[in-house]
Amino acid sequence: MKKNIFFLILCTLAYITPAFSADIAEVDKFAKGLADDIMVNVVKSKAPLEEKQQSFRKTFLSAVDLKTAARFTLGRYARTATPEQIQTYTDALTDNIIYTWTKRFSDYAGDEIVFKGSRKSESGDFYITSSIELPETQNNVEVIWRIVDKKGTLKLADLVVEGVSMLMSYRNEYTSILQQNGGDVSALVAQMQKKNETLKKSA
Amino acid sequence: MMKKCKFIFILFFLLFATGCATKPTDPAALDAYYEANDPWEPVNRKIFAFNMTADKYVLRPVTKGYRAITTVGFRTKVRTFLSNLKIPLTVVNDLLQFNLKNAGLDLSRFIINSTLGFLGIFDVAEKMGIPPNYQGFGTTLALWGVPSGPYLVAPFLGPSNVRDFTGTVANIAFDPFTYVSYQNDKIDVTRAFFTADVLEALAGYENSLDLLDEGRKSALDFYVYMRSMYQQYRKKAIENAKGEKTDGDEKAAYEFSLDDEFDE
Repeated sequence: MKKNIFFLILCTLAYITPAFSADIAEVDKFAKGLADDIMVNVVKSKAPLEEKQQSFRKTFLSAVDLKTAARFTLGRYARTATPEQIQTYTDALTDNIIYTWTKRFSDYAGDEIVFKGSRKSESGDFYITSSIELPETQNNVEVIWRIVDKKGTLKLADLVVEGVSMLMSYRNEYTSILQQNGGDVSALVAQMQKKNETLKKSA
Repeated sequence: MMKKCKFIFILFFLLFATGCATKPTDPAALDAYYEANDPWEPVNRKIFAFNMTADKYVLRPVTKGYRAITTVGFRTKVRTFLSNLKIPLTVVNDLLQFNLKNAGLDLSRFIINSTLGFLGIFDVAEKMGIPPNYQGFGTTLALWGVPSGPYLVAPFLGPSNVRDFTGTVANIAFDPFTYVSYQNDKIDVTRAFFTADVLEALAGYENSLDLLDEGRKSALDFYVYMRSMYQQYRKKAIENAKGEKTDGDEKAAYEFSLDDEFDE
């Protein structure tokens, strides 16, 4: 019986999935739209920092799969954390990304993000490669946008800068802090919030 | 001399033997412990703190001064010139990696840039379609299947691991320039190349200064931030070198599963 139900679910999934699966062109459009949005509202915007943060927050919240990001970056600690802890952690993580990246984007004096190509991996995730020139050192930095198809909606899952994944970096840092403090998620969140306060104001 | 080496060796051994982190028992903590691959963390942190002090009082002022008196264009030329000196070492490593194609390309790069590129100040070869490629012995070892070993922070040199640090030391021996100057008993030449190495390190540092500052400001734990960056960055460099040999259809390190926590 159990086996039958499993089989049924599998068939249904197999039937539904193609309808959901996005094609590369669509994903490209999504990534470029996101890049344009950030270019106009953050990089080239002359608005005050706070306004740019708000505008980036809006873009970020609609584009990112936060739940997966939060659980992934907590590593195995996500299993033992309470839902409240995960919620406050998610908020602190969001703030951290907003403040850090608004600053990064604002400082970026370059002209454009050049998209170079995209591919779909075996697991079904999309990887879009782009290149950004840093004016200060004239270096070209490779940025890969990892995009996932979340039940028909495209979401930005990760940014990989020169091989360094943002998600993996957060996970390494936060799980290491959790390991040091005996797995206390609330203590980690308190540290993050304190940091966010200083990041928020640093223009 | 021999005695001194022995003494340093024993000192290091004691430092690391006594400086091991205790392995946690909690499963989540154990996961984090293995992912970090840093059993010598206590000692590494001390060396890291030392490096940060050296950074503050020596490296940074020097770098800022260098920035103040030069233009971006000039600094790029300096980097191109210094990295040209590293191409023979790359050729040796290409050969050790059994990558004849790259050995040929890199040798052409060196010849073209050293002549048409005015001793390497201009990267003419890149304009001719031979992109820059730098290989050290650390990557060669990785391609030979040597595992990275634990994470390691080297005094002054910064983040590394046992394999890469071995590679860094071996690079000096493998560099044809070292060999040539030693063979001819030209200590001045050795000195000049040592200076070039120091300059190269400085230029490289200047090149990544902004990224470092960024990280220092936004990270909760800058030590872990650097460790994570280094480990990911090296994986990518090794994948790139590997990709040249296979068809590049191996999974990249950043293609990890996002829900691996719930798979089991």
